[in-house]
Amino acid sequence: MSGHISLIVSSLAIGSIYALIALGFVVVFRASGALNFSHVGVMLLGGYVTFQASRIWELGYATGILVAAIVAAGVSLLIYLTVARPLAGRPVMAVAIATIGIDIALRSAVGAYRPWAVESIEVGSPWGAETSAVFGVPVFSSHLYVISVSAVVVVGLIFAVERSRWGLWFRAVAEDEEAAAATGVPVRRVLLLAWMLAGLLAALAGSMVGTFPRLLQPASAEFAFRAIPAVVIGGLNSIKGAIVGGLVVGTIEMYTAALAPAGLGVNAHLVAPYVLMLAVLLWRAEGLFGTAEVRRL
Amino acid sequence: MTPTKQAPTGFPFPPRGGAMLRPRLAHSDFHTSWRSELRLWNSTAKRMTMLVTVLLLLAAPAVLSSAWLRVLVVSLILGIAAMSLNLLTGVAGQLSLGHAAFVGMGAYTAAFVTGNLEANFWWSLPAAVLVAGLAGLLLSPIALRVRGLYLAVVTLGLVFLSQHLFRNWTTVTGGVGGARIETPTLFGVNLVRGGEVGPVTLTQNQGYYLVMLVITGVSYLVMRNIVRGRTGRDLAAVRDNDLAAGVVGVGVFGAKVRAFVISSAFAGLSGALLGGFLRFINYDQWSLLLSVEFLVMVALGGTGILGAALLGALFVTAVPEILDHLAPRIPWLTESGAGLTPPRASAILFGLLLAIVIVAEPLGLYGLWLRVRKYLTTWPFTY
Repeated sequence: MSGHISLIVSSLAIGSIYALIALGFVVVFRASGALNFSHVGVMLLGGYVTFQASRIWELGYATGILVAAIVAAGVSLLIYLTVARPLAGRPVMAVAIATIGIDIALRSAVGAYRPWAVESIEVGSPWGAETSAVFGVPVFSSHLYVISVSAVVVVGLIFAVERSRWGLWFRAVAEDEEAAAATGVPVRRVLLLAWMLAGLLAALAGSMVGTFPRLLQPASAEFAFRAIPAVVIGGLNSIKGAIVGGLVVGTIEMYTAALAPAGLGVNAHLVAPYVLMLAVLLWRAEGLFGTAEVRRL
Repeated sequence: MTPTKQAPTGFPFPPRGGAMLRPRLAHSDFHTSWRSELRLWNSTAKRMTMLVTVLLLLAAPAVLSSAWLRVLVVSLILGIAAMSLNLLTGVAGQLSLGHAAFVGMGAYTAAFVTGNLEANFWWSLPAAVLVAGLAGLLLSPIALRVRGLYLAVVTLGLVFLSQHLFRNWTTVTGGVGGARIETPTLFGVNLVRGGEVGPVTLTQNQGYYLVMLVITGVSYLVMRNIVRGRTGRDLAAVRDNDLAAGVVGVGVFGAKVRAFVISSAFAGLSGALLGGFLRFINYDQWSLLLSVEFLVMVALGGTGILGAALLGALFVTAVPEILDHLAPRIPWLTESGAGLTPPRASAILFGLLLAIVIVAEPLGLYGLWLRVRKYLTTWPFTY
């Protein structure tokens, strides 16, 4: 039983990180209609900027995350202005391919920066290996931090999208950009904000990826790649789907790591999300909560 | 008495009669018959370019050192895979991030055939085509079920899944330790190391280069003929609008299956040849980065323009090599280890280039050439 509780807590923690990354994908997908692969690179950058600010500049963990959020939002904005906006009106595939390019460039650049990439690093969280008791079972305090902060962010985001004026505008743009513009929605500003929000979420997730018991290294970008199955399982355009998908992927990963037979090979838990994604796509091509695409000639 | 039917000869029908009556330098965009437009090289200029290119390629081994010949060989090998990705993504419109997986399957098939089965290397080519083609066949039902971005994501998953397989299926792939592949020999001569064939002495890489010229040339012709024929028109229709293609009678399912099988089969061929040339392969080679490099080759050359992918392949292969040569002279470039190494620098360059090409010139180098040609052919009225 105690094994299960610690497994559930770590599943929730890693699932929350996936959910945060997945939300970034969904926000941009709803705004621009494209899968933004550069989100992966922005997340990695966010993690390393957190490290830079919190440990090298010694500003502390929270300030570090703030600095990373600002930088990542800026980079994400820049990607929108230079890649996504010029490609508006072209096939969505073009944006996807162009952002793949940006992602590769960004990740290679981060990997080439010596002070960051030479060894695995911890971004400077205050907990270290400290544990707290949950139902009498010791679990890492950082897990509890990750879960609670993600929950707050997710709830805040849903509230903002459902209840605020900007949220209404965002939903209007997601539904029909032209109609939204015709009714006076500042479409461009909404798009700007959506991409910046995605960068912010990426930075937060990046800092969590680098928080003990995880360590940050250039290969940590695969965290963000595994969030893509989470998005797809939930449905590319569903915020609810991203959260559920993230938690499902986190749980699958942790349980596969703990229970999978050795016959599945080393690191089977890291590919389990993709297997699940294939199964879900064959069953429901639009994901669990996504809207099926309506097509006409 | 049956009336003899007089064939019309005026416009738009081509004049019947001797060659004298035909325009001598037909512009490749202007044709008087469907047949002439469908020809492989449908203008004199294209025929001449082709001839000159082939002659230059044949003369290359006499001039180039073995290091640069190596670049040419690798780009010819990767060019096959790039052309096949161009057929799938550029012509049929199915974005695939999983091309590296099929190339890897081909390479490991070669390792299995020459290693575990102890057969001649040349058997591994048909085997690789078969294995990778079958894998493409298995993937194609999924590709019919999911479309567009979802397909891109599925193929992304394929890269990670196949890498997992390559790493863990140790009996076939050698696992983390990698696998060895026998270098092919022809007429008793090791194609990489060279040797004497009759009166000719082949130095390092020359043999492999000449063989690759033939194989890549044949692959190009096969794919080019597929693209310009009925299958290719079906694929293009599916790309432009698969629903509309289905309505006008194109078998969409069959077309997609064909695109996937043909494309992955050629990727497998490319993988086996790459394995035979490199002699040693490892699981982390067949990564997402390789898939993206294939995309760069396609996008840079010209999406949907088969032969242009070869140019893209040459660029992608040559850049790391050139940077490697320049590394000692550029202060911010380190030669190996951590920091900005030539592979990392070229990855940054390729990534940026992919984005720039997509944003600024969707047809890549071919698009640039079209602009130049338009300027030249319409001069002095170039507006």
